[in-house]
Amino acid sequence: MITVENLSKTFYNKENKSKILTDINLHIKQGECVILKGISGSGKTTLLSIVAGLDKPSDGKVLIDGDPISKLPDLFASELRAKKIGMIFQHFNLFEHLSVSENVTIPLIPSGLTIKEVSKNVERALKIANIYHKRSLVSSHLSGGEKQRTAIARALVANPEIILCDEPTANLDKENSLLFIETIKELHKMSKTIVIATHDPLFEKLDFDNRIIPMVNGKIVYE
Amino acid sequence: MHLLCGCLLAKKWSIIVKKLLPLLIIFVILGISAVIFISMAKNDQPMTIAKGNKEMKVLDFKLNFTNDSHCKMLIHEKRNALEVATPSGKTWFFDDPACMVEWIQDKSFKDSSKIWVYTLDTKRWIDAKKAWYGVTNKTAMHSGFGAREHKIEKSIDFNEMSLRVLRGETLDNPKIRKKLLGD
Amino acid sequence: MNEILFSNQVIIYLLSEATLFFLLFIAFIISVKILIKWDFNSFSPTQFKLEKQAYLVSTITLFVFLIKFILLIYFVFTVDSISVLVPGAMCGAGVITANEYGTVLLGLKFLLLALLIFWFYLQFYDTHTKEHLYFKHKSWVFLAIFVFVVLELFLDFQYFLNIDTHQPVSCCSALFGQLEGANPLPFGLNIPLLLTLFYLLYILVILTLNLNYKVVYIVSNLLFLYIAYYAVVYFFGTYIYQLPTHKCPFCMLQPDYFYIGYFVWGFLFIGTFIGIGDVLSSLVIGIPNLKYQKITSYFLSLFVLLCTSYVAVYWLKNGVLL
Repeated sequence: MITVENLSKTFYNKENKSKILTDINLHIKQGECVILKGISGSGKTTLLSIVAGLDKPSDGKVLIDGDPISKLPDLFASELRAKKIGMIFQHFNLFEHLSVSENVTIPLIPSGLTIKEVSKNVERALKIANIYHKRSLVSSHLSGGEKQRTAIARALVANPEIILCDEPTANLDKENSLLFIETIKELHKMSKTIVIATHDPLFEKLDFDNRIIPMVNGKIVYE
Repeated sequence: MHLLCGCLLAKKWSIIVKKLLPLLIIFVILGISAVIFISMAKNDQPMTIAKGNKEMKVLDFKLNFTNDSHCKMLIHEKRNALEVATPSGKTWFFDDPACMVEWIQDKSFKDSSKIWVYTLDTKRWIDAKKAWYGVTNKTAMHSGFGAREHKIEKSIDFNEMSLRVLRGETLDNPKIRKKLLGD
Repeated sequence: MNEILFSNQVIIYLLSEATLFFLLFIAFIISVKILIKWDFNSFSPTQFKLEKQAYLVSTITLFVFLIKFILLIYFVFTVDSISVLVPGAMCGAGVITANEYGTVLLGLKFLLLALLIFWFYLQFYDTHTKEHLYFKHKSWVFLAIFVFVVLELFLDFQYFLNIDTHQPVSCCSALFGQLEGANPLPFGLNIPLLLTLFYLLYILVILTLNLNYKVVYIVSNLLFLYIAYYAVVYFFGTYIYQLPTHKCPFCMLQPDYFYIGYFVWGFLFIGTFIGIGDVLSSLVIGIPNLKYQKITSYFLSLFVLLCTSYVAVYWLKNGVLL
C-alpha cells in the first residue's frame, strides 16, 4: 500500500541546510497499523507530510498503491489525497466558525457527489466518530476531545483507505486519548491502513495488531 | 406514443443529417473554389510596377490601365509619360515629368536608374536626361514640362527641369503661370 | 528626444513589455537548464529540484502570457491614442505606417498571440497527465516564443523611438483607398463575390471544426481570416462608419464608433487562434477529440453576426445599402 524508498528531506535556509530525513525505507501493507515513535524533531511529521503528498522529498520515492505521489502534478496529487488519504492533525485544523457537520462536509465538495450522497457520507462519518449528536454545534464551542472526533469524522468522510495521524493525542487528556485509541481500533477492524506519528507512551501497548517504528534524528532506528 | 415517435424521428433525422454533412462540406469547398477561380480568371488589375526588366529598356504598357506611382492616377496617353527602370529589374511609370522628379528624389537608385520619356516632337522614347523640356506645354499634372528630343526656344534641360519642379516653379503655380502665360 | 516617448500610454506600454521580458528571460534561463537535465522517471535530488523549477517556470510563463494578451490590446490602444501627436494620422493606421517597423511589429504580435494560445493548450495537456508527457513539447514551444519575444521587444523600442512627429504620415484614406481603376481585393474579387466567399468560408469553418476535419479546418480558417480582413475593411467597415469611402481597420477602434473594432477584431482573432491552437495541439499530441469547438464556433459566429448586423440595421433603417 505505502512504499518509501531511500527517502531524504533537506531544508535549506540562508546560512545552512538541515537534513530532516535520511534514507528512510519503509513498506506498510494494506490494513496495517504503524506507529512512528520518536521525540519532537525526529522527523515523524515531515515523513507523514511527504507520504500525504503535502510536501515533496529531496530524494527518494514514495508510492501509494504504485503511484509516485511526490512526482504527481498538483491535479493528480490532490485527487489521490482526496480519494485515498484521510489526515488527522495535531491541532485539529477545523474551521472554527463552521459547524461540526459543515467541517466534515468540506472534503466532499469537489467530489462530484450529489447532495443526498454527501449527506449520507457525512452522517456515516459522524456516527463512526461518535460526534453525530453534536453535528449542529459550531466548532469553537467544542471541547478538545470533541474537536478531535470531528477531525476523525472529517478524515473518514471520503472513506479513504489510508488514515494518517500526526500527534493526534498531543492536545488531549488521558481519557480522550484512550477514546481516540478505541476509535483507531474500530478503524483498524474496518481494514484501514493507519499510520500514527506520536511520542505518546499510550501507543506503546495497544491491544490490537500494530507495528512500532522508532525514529531518531530523521532515521528509522530499526525496522 | 407520440413522444416515442417524435424521438425516433429526431434520431433518424440526425443520422441523415450526419451522413449529409460531409457531402455539404464538399459542396461548400467546390463553391469556394469556383468563386476564387472565376474571380482570378477575370482579374484585370492595373499595373503599377513591372518586374524583370534588368536590361532597363522601355516597356510597353497599357494606357488607362497603368498607374502613375507618385500621384496614383491612370496614365491616359503616352505624351510626356516616363518610365524609370532600375538595375534590380523594376520599372515604374509616370504621366508627368513633375511626378517622376518628386518621386525619385529620395530613392537610392536615383542616379543608377535609366529614365525614359516619350517625346512630343519625334513621338518616341528617349533618355529623359538628354531630352529638352518646354515650360508651357499641356501635361497630365499641369507642370507644363513637355518633353522633346530637339531643343526649341525657351526649352530647358533635365537638370533645370528637375530644379524647377522641386522649387515649385511649375505651371501649376499661379505666379509662374502668370509670368509665363500672362493673364 | 522623441515626444512620443513622453506619452503616458507609451511609457506604460514599454515599461510593461520590458518587465515582462525580464521575467521571461529568467524563465528562459531556467527552462534551458531544465531541458538539458530533465528525466521525469528519476527520483534524484536534481530531478526534484528541476520539477520545482519547472513549476516556477510554468507559473511565470502563464502569468506573462496572460498579461501579453492584455498588452496586445493596449498596444493597439496606444497606437490609436498617439495618432494625435503624429501629423496626418487620423487613427492608428497612419501611426502604424509611420516607419518601417510598425507593420512588422503588428504582424509579429499576432503571430505571438497564435503561439501563446498554442502554448496554453500544451500547458493544459501537460498538467493533465501524470508523467508530464508534453513537458518537452511545451518547453520547446516556449523557447521559440522567447526568440520572438526578444525580436518583439527590439521592434517595440525601435518603432516608438523612430516615430517622427515632424514627418506627416498617410491617413487611412491614402493607405486603404484604391488606386484609380485598381482593385485592392485579393483574387480579383468584387464585393458580391467577396461576401459570398466570406459566408461560404464561415460555413466551411463551422462544419469542419464540428465534424473534426482537422487539416481542412486549419486551411479554411486561415483563408477565412484572410478574406474576413478584406470583408471588414472594404465592406462591413463602411457600414460601421456609414460612409462608403471610409475604409480603415483602425478607425473603428475609436470612441466615435463605441470601440466596436476591439470586438470585431477580437472575436475574429480569438476565435481563429483558439480553434487553430486546439487542432494543432491535438495533431501534435495525438488527441482525437477537440476541446474547444463550441467556444471557437461562438466567437466566429459572434464576429459574423456583429458584422452582418451593421449591414442589416443600416438596411432596415434606410431601406437601401451604401
